[in-house]
Amino acid sequence: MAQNRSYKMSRTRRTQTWFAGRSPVLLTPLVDMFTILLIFLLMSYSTGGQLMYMAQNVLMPESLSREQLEPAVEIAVATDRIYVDGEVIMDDLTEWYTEKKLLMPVLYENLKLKALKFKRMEAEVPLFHFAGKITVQADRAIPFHVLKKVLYTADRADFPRISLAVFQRD
Amino acid sequence: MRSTQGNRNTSTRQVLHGDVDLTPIMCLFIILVPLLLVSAVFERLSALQVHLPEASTIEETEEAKEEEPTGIVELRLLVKEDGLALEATLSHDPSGKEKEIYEDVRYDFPIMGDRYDLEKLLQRLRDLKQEYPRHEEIVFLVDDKVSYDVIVQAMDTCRREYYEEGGEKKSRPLFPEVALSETFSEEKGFEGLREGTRIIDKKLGIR
Repeated sequence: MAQNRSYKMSRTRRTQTWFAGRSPVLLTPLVDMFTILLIFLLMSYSTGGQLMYMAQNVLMPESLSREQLEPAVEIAVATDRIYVDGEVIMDDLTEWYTEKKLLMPVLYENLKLKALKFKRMEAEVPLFHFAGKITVQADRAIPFHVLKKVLYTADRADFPRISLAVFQRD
Repeated sequence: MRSTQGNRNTSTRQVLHGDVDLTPIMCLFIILVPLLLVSAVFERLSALQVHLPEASTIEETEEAKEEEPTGIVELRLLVKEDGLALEATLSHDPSGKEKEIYEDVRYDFPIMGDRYDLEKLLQRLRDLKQEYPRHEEIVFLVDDKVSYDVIVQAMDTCRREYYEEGGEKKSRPLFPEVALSETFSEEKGFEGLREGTRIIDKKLGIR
């Protein structure tokens, strides 16, 4: 009984002093929120995988594939331009929608220079190995005849191991 | 003396009401939450390996020659604007030992409205895989105007089959080695193409 009384007393005293001394901010909801957010983020956290430069206006198709992307040279093909490793190298593709030739000279030159650089590195750096890997991110709306030219040019420029980057679908 | 008493008072009060000091956990949260937010991945990416048959290197073609027969000489999927078609050159013996008897089969899957009939294609591929389990390659012959999205959907169908068994999601490979090609090869364009690279190579100082 006596304990109960002292509890009540101390409680009132505490409330009074608490309001008098500090601003009445309750941290509990904030901590709750952070805890939920932390759990959600930890669940969606993924180790591994390859970071990729995401080009503007490139909406890749969705696929059920679960193969991991590997580090490689990246080509991004938007409906109107082509990026290589994040840099725009061709900013007008209109002529390539009607062009009969398969080789894109600007892309070829760019990729060939990269391949040469890697080959030189391979000769100088002992553990470096150039495998000719290339990752192609292409917009889902581009027609096959444009994609075909890009793939063909990449292959000609010593990048025969081609992977297509796609969004994962469940 | 008084101060000691005061201290004891406070500590008793803390024990009684569970007045926990939240500052350390807040510090932890403030560091962890932005770190995880920055590294959070909302769209996951994956890769699809493809091969280019016409431009394949000499070593690869040599390897292909050494492969054991699987019963299917060649499996082709035609991806056209008006639908899909599966063509296969089969040898009658699934072990591929009797090479004399060949049979060409063709199954058409016309487009339904604006959707490609991937379900029927999957059924047909499943039957083929059951009959010829060792065959893994499929060649895509794609029409020029077909969009990239359609190719990827068709590739998904041909590479792996996804199914549910006892409430569990499972998958098994069908024909995972996909080679991308065009509907008819432009033999004439090939020389011109090589000429094109030669000019650029010369410009770059490569022999």
